[in-house]
Amino acid sequence: MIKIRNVKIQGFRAFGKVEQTLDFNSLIACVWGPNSQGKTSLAEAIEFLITGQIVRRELMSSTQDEFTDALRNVHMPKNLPVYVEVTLIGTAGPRVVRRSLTTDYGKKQDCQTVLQLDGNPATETDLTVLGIVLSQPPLRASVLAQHTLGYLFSAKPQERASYFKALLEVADLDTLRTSVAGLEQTLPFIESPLFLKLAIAAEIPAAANLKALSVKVPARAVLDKALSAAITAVMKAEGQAVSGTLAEQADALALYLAGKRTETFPVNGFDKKAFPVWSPAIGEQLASLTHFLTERGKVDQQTRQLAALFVEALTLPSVAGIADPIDCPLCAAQAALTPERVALIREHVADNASFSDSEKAATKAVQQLHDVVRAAQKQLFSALPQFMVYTSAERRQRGFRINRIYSLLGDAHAASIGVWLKELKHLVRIYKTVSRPAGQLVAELSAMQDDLEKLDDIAALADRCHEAIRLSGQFHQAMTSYLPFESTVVDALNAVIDAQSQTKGWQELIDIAKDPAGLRSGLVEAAALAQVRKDLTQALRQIDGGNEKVAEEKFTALSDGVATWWDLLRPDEPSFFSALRPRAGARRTIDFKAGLSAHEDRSNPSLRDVIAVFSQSQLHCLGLALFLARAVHEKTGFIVLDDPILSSDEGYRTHFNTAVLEKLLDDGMQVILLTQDQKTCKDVTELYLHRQIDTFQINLDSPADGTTVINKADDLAAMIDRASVLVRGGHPDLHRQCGEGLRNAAERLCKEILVKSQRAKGNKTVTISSYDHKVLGELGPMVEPLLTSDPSHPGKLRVMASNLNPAKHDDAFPAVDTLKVALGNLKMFKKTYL
Amino acid sequence: MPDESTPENNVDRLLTHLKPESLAARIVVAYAGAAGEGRKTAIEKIVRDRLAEIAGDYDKDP
Repeated sequence: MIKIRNVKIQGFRAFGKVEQTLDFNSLIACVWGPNSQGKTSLAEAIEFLITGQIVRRELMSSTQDEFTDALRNVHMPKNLPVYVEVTLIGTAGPRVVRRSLTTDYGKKQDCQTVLQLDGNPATETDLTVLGIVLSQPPLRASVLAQHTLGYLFSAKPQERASYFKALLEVADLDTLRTSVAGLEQTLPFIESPLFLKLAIAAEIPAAANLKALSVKVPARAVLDKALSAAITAVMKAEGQAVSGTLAEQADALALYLAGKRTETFPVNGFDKKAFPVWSPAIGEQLASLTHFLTERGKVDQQTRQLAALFVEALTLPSVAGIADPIDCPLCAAQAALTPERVALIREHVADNASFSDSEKAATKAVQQLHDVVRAAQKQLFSALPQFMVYTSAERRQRGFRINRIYSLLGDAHAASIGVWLKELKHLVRIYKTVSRPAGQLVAELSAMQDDLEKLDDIAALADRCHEAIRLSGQFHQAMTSYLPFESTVVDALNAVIDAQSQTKGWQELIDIAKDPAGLRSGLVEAAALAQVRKDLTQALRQIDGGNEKVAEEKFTALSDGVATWWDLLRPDEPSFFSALRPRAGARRTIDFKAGLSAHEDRSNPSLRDVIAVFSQSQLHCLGLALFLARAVHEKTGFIVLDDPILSSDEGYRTHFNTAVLEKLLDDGMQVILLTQDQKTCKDVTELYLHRQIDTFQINLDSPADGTTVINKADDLAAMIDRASVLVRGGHPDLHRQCGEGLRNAAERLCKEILVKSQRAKGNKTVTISSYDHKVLGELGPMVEPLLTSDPSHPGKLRVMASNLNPAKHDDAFPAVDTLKVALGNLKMFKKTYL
Repeated sequence: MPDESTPENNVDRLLTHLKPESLAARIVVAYAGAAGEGRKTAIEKIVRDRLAEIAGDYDKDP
């Protein structure tokens, strides 16, 4: 745990322009000063260093404006800084922390400060890293003053609960609980529409057996059987028989339902086939046609017409084996057919053969393109709702009238019908945009099939094909947008029709019967969600129970701590602190319970709230016990206590000075005790002399100069007094301490003699600190010439210095008689030369 | 001074009051094993796993 090695204060509240220092060499320090000399300023200085605030402003000021300019000493020159600095000893060695006041409290404005660690800018986090414990607000520092003792009793119950929960560090469990409580919100909704359809189907009077399916997830065979039984019962109620597989039964019911519905409205007019995305691969066909055009360019029309004649001519032996010109076998022209002309004819025949091949491929390609576009054209048409295909006369005859739809659905759906019709118009417009060029393309390809000579511009044909593909994509997109609007109207229509024809729930029964596997998945999903919800509720209950137990355990530990300090402060009282605990059934209320017993042994106590039954003195002690328990619980390392015992509580002062302080020190806690009671200071000083207690006196002689600190341990008379007490003790440790004390006193004596001598010679600037770092071995020879009252004095000083030297070592210390002689000589030197 | 078996933090203390392998314990362990925003994700995964576990049990039934 961290400890304070020293405190330096300048300009803070009662402290003035000259920096005041308190060095702490022991675990315990006592600072004495009469009232209004600066004790509370010292306590608040340490609080200010730790928190950057003083809590008194928050707790005591009715309007915080009252603390305007309260931190800076009013007499401080404006150019001097106000700061509090401490040297801390922790695991990382000595570290110097300074907090400087940059802006004082103002009206409705907090003070501003600058924090430094070892001279470098620092943050509050750096303090925590150092080991300084910041407790829960508002009492964040381990500094106890009169005005903070009663805070927890006066705080509202909820503030008290929040404070203790934070103090016991169980707020993280509340955060965990909130996270777990929010888990149910993250569960998915039931996505299966079949599960929802089951609930509707189960409302059919004849299919009531379906209700059992939602209660417990059935095996697949059981599910199928239940669905079959439901369909059979529905059909039977209509006087219809049904047989076959479940799917066949569902089809039979669907057919029957369609007939029933049509009696009310031809809702099948909305039937249509799906229009898939159309993106045929036509690259190969277009390549064939391109090749065909190339080959056709090589062979002219006349050659193509004569090709068969040429082939026949070349089979003639005289032509096939021509070496010299011969008469033409066709026109009989003499010597007209030369070997060169025969070779040319052979070339024409070969070119014509390639052309013929490409022509066949092109014919096939045109056929394929035609078929593809034609099929798409048909799909496009089939994708339209049937009522759009009907003629007006057919629509009238079937009863598919828009007015009828409005009439059936009523005003509630008028808007939906309006939107559907608007989307329908858009769909029709897109359909026309696509169907017209598609039809033209089919016609063009059909003409090419009849006469390939009509093919002359491949690029234009490819453009038309690609445009048809692009437009079909537009139609697909338009249809995708249209369908939800149509579904809204169709679903509403079906609901009305089913209600009128008493077939409500039939469609849902058909749907679930056609997909029993999907229905079972939906049932599993719903059952799993319900089970998880139940599990989460149970888990949250278990976590709540666990959290309460953790809080109880920690409360019990803190409560035990408070009780321990209470018993040290007020032992053997029949009214006593009993427990600090959360109120049963009210998690936000913390109770302090007092035990009231009629017996000295505290037997059979009745429990009451402390606020109601404790005296002011008892409440005061409870506040102190709570503060001490908190400091120990949080391992603050040090505590500052500003007159922790009321002046009227003389009886408990002894318990505090002895049992409480002793236990704190035994627990390793550094205690800085501030008191205005001189007797307390004297008692504590003597009680903890063996712990080398540091003692200070603070005075406020001049408001302009501010509070000054005197280290009483440095005072020669005090040193001699302490040594006088220690030398009387019987324990060797006391003798060692006495030896050290006498040595320090001898050094102090020498310094004071030297200062007196120098000042007598007119050197007014010399002070005790002028001889800092000089040890007794160096000071003795300097003083000896000044010991002129008796020739034996220099020798006595030399012997005393020699005898006290071993006192610095752990393994040897002067004999008691030697110490007594040295003590006597010190008193004599002081009396003679000072 | 706490002995070796004394839990060092509140979550560990809480776990000593929960039935091992219960959903509550699994959620708390997941919460403790993550940090910051990751905690929400971690405990939601436990719930999703539980959902799948229950659904899987039903699927064993043909």
